[in-house]
Amino acid sequence: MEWWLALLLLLGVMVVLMMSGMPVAVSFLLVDLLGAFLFLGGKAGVVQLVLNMMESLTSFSLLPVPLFVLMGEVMFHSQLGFKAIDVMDHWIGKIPGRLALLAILGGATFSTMSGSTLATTAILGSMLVPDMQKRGYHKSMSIGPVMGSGGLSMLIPPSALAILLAALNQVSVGGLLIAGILPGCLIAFFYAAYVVIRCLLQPHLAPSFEVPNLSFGEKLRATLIHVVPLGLIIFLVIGLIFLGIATPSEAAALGALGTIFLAAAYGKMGWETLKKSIMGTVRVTSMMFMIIVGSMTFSQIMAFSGASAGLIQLVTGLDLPPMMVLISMQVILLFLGCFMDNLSMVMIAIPIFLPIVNALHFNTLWFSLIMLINMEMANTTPPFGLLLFVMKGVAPKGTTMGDIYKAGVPFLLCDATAMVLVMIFPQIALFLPGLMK
Amino acid sequence: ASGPIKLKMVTFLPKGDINMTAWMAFMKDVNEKAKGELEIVFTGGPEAIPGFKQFEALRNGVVDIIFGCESYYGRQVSGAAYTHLTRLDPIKERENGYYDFRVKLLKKHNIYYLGRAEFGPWFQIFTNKPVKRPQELAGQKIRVSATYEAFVRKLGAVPVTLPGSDIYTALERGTIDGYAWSVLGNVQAGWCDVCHYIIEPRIYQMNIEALVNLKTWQRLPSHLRKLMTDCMIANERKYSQVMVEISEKEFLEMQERGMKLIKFSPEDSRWYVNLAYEAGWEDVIKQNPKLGTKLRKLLSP
Amino acid sequence: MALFSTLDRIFDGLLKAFAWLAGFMMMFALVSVSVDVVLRYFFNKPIGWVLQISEYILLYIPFLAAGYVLRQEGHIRIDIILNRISRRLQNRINMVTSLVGALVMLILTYYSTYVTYDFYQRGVPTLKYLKIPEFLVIMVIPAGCFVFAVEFVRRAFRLYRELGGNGRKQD
Ligand code: NA
Ligand code: NA
Repeated sequence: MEWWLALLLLLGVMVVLMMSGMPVAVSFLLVDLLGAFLFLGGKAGVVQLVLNMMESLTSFSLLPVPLFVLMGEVMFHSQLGFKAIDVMDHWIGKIPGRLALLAILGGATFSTMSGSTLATTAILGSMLVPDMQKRGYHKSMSIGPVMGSGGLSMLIPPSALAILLAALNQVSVGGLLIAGILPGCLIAFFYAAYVVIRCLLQPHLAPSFEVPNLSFGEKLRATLIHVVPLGLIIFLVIGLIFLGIATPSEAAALGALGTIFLAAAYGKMGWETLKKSIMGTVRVTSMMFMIIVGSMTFSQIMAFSGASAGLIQLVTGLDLPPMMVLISMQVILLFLGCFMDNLSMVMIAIPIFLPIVNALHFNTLWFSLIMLINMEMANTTPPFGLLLFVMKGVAPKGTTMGDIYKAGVPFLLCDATAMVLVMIFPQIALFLPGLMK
Repeated sequence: ASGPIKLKMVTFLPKGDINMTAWMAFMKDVNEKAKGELEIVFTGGPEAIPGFKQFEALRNGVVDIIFGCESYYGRQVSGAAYTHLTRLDPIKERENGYYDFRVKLLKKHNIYYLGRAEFGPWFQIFTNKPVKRPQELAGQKIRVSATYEAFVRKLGAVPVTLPGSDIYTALERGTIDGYAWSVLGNVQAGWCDVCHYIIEPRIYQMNIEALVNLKTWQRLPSHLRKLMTDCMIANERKYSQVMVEISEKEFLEMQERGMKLIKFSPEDSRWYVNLAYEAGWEDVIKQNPKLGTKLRKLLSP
Repeated sequence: MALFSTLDRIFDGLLKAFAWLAGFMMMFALVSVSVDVVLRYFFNKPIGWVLQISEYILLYIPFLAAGYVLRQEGHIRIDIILNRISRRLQNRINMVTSLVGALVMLILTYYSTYVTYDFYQRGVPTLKYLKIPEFLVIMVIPAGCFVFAVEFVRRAFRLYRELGGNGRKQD
């Protein structure tokens, strides 16, 4: 079968299934069955599908996902996080949309401790979103900022994906990590500017609320009790990595354990709370991992059938000027990112893109960073994006996928703006790595 | 008239990986010489079929031919991965009967053993803690895979299992002192920026094989089977040398990037290399006594 | 009828038990990874199997819990279109997708059972630290898929019963 026919068939069936309200994971699996039968070769192909399913999850680098979700769940059910946010809120002045800003600030801060986008979003989401809704924040001002700033953790080091991308693109790992700092800050700044301007124009989106005026001493006391210990957990996570005691995946385990002990120290960790947290984590993890199973195996079938390669070659084979090639590569990635997880997407694209990038003498570090921003966006571009689903998992009942898509759009535009700026001014990416030499 | 017979091929490394140099040359050679009759089609790397499941894909006929790493299926074939322990070159392996032995072994798994798809690159230990003698490696935390675990344990070092993606951070932060790896790939992964010493003695052999689905193989006309075999033998001859040159270049580049060579005295080097093979074979023989003993004899000079 | 409701309750119990097993496994991974760090850092004695077992647990968690998550309507669905049509039509579509879902999971159950049995017969070992037979790892896929399939059928039944009344969903 021709690759384009294969592509249309697989994507067409999947879009119909997903739109019919079939669980995303099962839609993927049905298309996988179809694809395995057609392209991997009948029954042996379906057997291969099962083997691939097993392989897609047995990867230690996925371990931080449930563990960071657990951290968030424990903070959520034991109410550890809320108090801390209340306290931080006392310190923040009366800025329009301050909880949204808090999310961005918190997201950027948490990004410096988390290499997992999913985990960052999950923890921010379960900590902040319910509180925002309680305060009457509109969904666009609660879900949006959290999802946006969750994605920052892919750019701001540490970042598991940056390390992986650097290895795939054959650029310096340290270089790519450092290169992400400025663009990450730029994006955070855009997010913040957007939130402030939008809330000035439409104050009802983020109703300001009275926070009892506390004296400086009271604020300090509240901070010592409710915020500083949280900082200790965070320190436990980075500190252990920094001191070389644990790897990022292991630090996630110790961080989760630390959170449970801290909640216990506050007297908030009953059997009920632990039970709820564990079950909540199992629920979110199962939901996300079943999608990962479906989408990773889907990507494998796309790759095997030649559909992915064909699509990419078609667009890159048009003999366009270099900048147009770069742009079309990013457009392809954006398109692929709508439907699949960002890791599979780059796994398919890099073997075809990289030779072209080298032939055109692009700076690979710069190219990798643009790709990283694209990967961040793929997490929130509808209809399929892991962050969208994480958000759905932690958002309050009654939040529809439509709400989540809409909330994400302005932040995607911020990302896109940053991506264009990095394309026009490569120094945004290359300045800091240049200092390393 | 029907077109050429197409063989679907997958590789456990992504397209463009330096380790695939010899293999790509082999593929090109076959496709040129068998033009119109036979074509090996690159269907994808681990992004198409996960590396650890390519052996099963080959067995079941999902693909026809693979460039496979023996550590990924060795235990399934012979109870333990062992082909990295060979001290013969591929041509000697063909002459002394090992090749036929391996063919027989893989036949039971519905697979035909075509030959050494890559030969030449070696393995080394890289560390951040300099030592003067190999015995001083005792106590160091060395990241291992199953290939070197027995050796690292024998050295008295602490074998640490970490996913490959964690090696960079673990080295940078000192979670591990060092790691064992092939000579190829350290520059690309960026590890030579965070690891400072290379233990000089080279151990083991890159254990990569060319495998064909048995039914596919038996269905091929005999002149095409001969053509592929001839291409493989020519490739083993020529590219073992080329791969060694590529490895030497990479070895130099690591040093230009700042890694320093730790040289042992000749006796210490001999002790070290000896221990590596001793430990490796001991482990294989423990897993499968009868086969292990026989293999050790076959693969030692 | 009594038999049905008994079976129903037994199955609900099974779903819960599987989900709890998943939760227990996650906590086991959490503790063993932490202990491993301590043993490696302070005593230079890491536990070799932690990585491998944690990876298997990552496979066990989602498959064990998939049916339970469906029972709680926790699987992500795209509801942009469904939200715009009548409740009755929604119910019908959900019923159809549930049955299709059941079929998908049954096909996967069949093939993964085949793979598990094949691995068991051939004695395929895992290729990492511990020499665990691989069928013990992969068997969670047929188990999870089967429970998932049954839960899809139950979901279709529940939707059918809701349709039977006045066609409006009773919340
Ligand atoms: Na980060
Ligand atoms: Na997307």
